[in-house]
Parts: sequence; structure tokens; C-alpha cells
Amino acid sequence: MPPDAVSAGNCVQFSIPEWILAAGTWIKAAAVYAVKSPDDDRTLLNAVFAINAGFATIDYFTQSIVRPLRRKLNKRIFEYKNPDWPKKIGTENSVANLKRREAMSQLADATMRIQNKIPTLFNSQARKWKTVMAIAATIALVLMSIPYTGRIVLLLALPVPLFAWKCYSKKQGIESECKAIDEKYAQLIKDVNDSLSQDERDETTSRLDDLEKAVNTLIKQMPSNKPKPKRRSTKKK
Amino acid sequence: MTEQDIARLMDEYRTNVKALFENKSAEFASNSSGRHASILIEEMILHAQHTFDAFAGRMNPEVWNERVMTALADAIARGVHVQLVVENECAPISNGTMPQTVRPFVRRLPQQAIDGIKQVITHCASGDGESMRIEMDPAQKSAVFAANNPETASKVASVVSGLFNIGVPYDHAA
Repeated sequence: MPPDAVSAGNCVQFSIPEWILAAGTWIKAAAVYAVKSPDDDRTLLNAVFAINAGFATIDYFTQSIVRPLRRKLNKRIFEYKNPDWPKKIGTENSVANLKRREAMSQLADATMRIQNKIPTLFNSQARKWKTVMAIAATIALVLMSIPYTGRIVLLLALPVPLFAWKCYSKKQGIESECKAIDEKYAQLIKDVNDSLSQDERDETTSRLDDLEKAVNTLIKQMPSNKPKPKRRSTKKK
Repeated sequence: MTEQDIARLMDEYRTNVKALFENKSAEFASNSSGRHASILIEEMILHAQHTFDAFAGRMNPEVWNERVMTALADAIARGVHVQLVVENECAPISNGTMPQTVRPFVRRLPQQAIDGIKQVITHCASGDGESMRIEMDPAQKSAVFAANNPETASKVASVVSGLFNIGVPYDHAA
């Protein structure tokens, strides 16, 4: 199953790309501004379109960050749940591999938790900055009575870069969180491998030692029981 | 799971075991069934250049199957020194699957020897004092394996040699 289908809860989602929606709204706002005659007092109408364009820009930024991030995390979750190491290692259900699986499953869960909080995190940012934008527009319209839509657009344009910067820092935060999880689990898996390998070594060694002692005792007890056959040396002379 | 699926998995397992030999891997691998055990032992024999030593209960035919027997015969033919030790019965001899050329290399432990080691019996095999397989659960045939672990493998070889020396030739033991 492709990672995207997994992410969407086993159903593939189709939607119009965000940039097309945003571009449509920008063109609409620009067209209204362009056809306005100098005498018309269409400030309020233009402000509404400008806010609309601003909102579309925020949605565009939100989705352009959220979607690739989710896709990236989906890919990781898919890899963690379907690791290719059993094939490389050449073993099947050894204790070490079961422990590895467990560790990978925990890794997938932790990544899923991050993935689930992404929409809430960025959507709340989007809501916050849309509110800032609406308040800025209202202030511009009511208190300052700015006649030109261009000024409103200018005012509205201020929250967008601020929002973009905020989103970028949030994105960096998410990515460093993912990196921390990756490092933590890479270390965990390494520890699991090392410790289990050591446990297996210890167990086999102790069994062999016991057997060796018993065999040595037997040899002493039955020294001439049977003639010892000549053993060919494995070393080349 | 169909027989076809199992066969595919076994082929995959064999490929991986071969890769461990080619890479001279010291990693501990495992086998959890008679079929896996059979593949491991066959590959150990195929990769042996000088010696192959094994201590097995009765040489379970699921593990010591015809392919393994053929590999053993080929190994002996190319000069590999083989030592096989069984506790009681040797199933491949009883069921006639063991080639005549392999039979002289099988020894059976006397009852006194079995009594002496029965608390610590661990079936094991070694190839060239490098590869080794140690059975952790004889009922399940689960074992640990390493393609290149001279320290443990040479100890296995020494233990099997010791047992072989106190054993009696199988054909004469009955």
C-alpha cells in the first residue's frame, strides 16, 4: 500500500491544489481593484476581497507546510511498520528481531502522535493570523477611513509574512522533534541489538562450557574405552 | 500460508544465509524450525573446506534430509573431514537416506556417556572451526547460528571431537 493511502485512513483523498485556490482569489481581488473607477467608493468591497485574498494566502501557506510534512511522516511511519532489515539480516523470528520490531512499532507510534498534532498546530496558527488580519482590516477601514484599497492590501500584507515566519519556526520545531525521535530510537535499536547479541553469546557460551566440562570429565572417565581416530588438522602445513 | 509461500520464504532464508557466509558475518542469526535448521546445516556443509563436526540427537530426518545427506557425501568426496555424533538412533541410517560413504563418519555415544552429559546436552555443529550452530531448544529445533565466529565454533568442534572420540562407530554399535 502506498504511504499516502495509509495516511488518509486507507482512502485516497483528491483535492484541488491550494496554490490554484489561492491564485484564483488573488486574481479575483486584483481584477476588482483594477476595474474600479476612480469615483466609485468600493473600499468596503475591495477590503472584503483583499481579506479573502489574505485568507487564501494563509491557507496556502498552511497547506503547503502541512501536506509535505504529513507525507514525509507517513513515509517514515510506513517504513517503521514495514522495515526491510529482516531481509538484510537474514534471520526470522529471533528474540532480537522481535525486540527490534517492538522498538520500530514504538517509533511509528511516536511519529504518528507528531503527525496527528500537525493539523491542529498549523490550523490554530492560521486561525490566529486570520483574526489578526481581520482586525487590521477593520481598524484600517473604521478608524483610519483609508480610501484606497491598495493601502488596505498593504495593511493586510503585514500579517502574512509574520504568519509565514511563525509557521516556518513551528515546522522547524516539528522536524527537530522528529529528528530527536529518530536518534533516540536508532540508539535504542542499537542497544537492543548489542544487548541481545551479548545475551545470546553469553547463553551459548555458558551451555558450551557446561558441555565441554562434561565431555572432558567423560574423556577422563573413559580414556581407553574406544581407540581415538586420527583427526586431520584443519591447518595447512 | 500455502506450501508455495513457505517454499518462497525458505528460498529467501537460504539466500540470506548464503549472504551471511559470503560476508563472513559474525552476527548471530537464528533458526526457529526444522526446515530452517536443515538449510543452515546444508549451507554449513557446503561452505566447509576442511572439517564439519556435528552432535545431533538422532539426526532428525526433517533436518538431516536427503539434500543434507547429499551435501555430506559431496563434502566427504572433496576431502572434508566429517565427524557426526548421535545419541541413540541415527534416523538417516535407519530410513536408508544416508549414503554409504557417510556412514563410517557417524558415531554413537555409549549409554555411560549419555548419562554423563544428559544434564547439559546441547546439540551443535561447526564448519571449519568458523561457522557454528548451537541448538537452544531441541524440541523446536530453534538455534543460534553464526557464519563466522571462530571462538565459539572452535569450541564446538573440540566438544564434538571429544564426543566422537568416546563414541563407537554406528555400524558396529547395534
